[in-house]
Amino acid sequence: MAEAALYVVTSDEARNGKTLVARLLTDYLILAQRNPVLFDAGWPQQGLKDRWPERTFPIDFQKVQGQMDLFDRILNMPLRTGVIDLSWRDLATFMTLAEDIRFREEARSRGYRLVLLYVIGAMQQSRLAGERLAATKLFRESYYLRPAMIKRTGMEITSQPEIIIPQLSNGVMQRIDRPTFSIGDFLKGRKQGLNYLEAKELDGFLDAVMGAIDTIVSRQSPTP
Amino acid sequence: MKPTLILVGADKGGTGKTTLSRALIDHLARKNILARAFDTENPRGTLKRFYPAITEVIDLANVAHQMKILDTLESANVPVTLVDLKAGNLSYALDTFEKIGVLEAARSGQFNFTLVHVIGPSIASLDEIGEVAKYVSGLDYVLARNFINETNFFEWDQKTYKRYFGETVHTQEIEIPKLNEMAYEQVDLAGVPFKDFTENKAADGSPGNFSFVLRGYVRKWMADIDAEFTRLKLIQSLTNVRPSAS
Repeated sequence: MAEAALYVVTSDEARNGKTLVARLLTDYLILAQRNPVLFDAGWPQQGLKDRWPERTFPIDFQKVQGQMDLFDRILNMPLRTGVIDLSWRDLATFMTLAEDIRFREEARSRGYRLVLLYVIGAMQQSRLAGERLAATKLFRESYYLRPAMIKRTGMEITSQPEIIIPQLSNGVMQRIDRPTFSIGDFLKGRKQGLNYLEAKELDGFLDAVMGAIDTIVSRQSPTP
Repeated sequence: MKPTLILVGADKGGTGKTTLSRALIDHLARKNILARAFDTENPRGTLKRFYPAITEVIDLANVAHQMKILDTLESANVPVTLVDLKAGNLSYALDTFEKIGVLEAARSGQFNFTLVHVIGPSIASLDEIGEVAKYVSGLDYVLARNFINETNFFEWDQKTYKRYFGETVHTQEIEIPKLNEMAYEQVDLAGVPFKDFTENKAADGSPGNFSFVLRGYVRKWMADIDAEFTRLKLIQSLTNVRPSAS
């Protein structure tokens, strides 16, 4: 049976780089010609919708209609790689609902494998919260991403390694946050106004993160 | 096996009698217990819309229709007869059944009998409990509190709450859990049993096109209400489970 990965990028905290990870993953998938469909439940920002309006469905997960826009659309569309940018606000509802409606079984029967990309937050319990998510068995695979500025606490239960997201300077962050800045174009060699040092910094950042994303995506079966 | 007669009713309207009847019929079907139903919402018959094959619309004031229910309890080829009483018919039905000896026959064990009294959160609805109490001595009496529309039952006002729930003698109490409004509405529009909705079956038996999310909401609700039904002596006796001491 053909399979496709559904990547759920989430965290239990706001403003820790979750949407940047979803964005980098999307850029990778587009460059790898995986043609991902995007679900932007990244309240209050819609970082994916703003950049890829043609392939993004905005989701208000607090409303039943939004829940239908996500789950029903996934199950009714032809098998296709997907990225869900899920805000901390909607995480608990997402998990409860996915269990209540038996989304895992239904998605698997259609060929989807759910992959968790959990961005660890600054609170001590954040990694444990991610491990609890992984333990629910909703996800076939789980990965923990730790922003470099957030230190380990020693409270981790699993020995699963973490992917470190290097810290970017404020200047580069502001540049790449601009709606017109495309990581994909940067990777194709278009510097888009970055000076030499900024470009070098971003190169180093992308080498680390895109390398990790490459490892994650390569583990999935080839997808339609 | 003795036949079982279940009355589902309330004098006040809009408390969820038919919803509870539907859920109960669904529950019995999933336990492979055959049932027939009488819908006294004459002539419209809301219950009949969901269960056309097993439901008959009757007028409870009509003696011939009363005979249809009561004189065929033994001869009907199904063990359970459920009567969904229309709003305002509960006291009338109990009064009539008392006068013609039906309740006495039930008390003496000629057949199994359960009254499911569905109550809403209004004082008018709660006052019915006292009115019904005079009929239910020696009978299996179930109070069903309907939370389907997220109502509350005066838990915030302990005096009122105790007056109705704390000091009233009744056999058992169950709660009808909340069901998401959109899911409820879609099942209603589809005109199918809850079970068929979760299995994505349209009214004509063909595959439906119901939302997976809404089907999930209904499935979860059914599981919650099943947990309530399973506590009832009525269900335990029908499924040959030894009733619990409580």
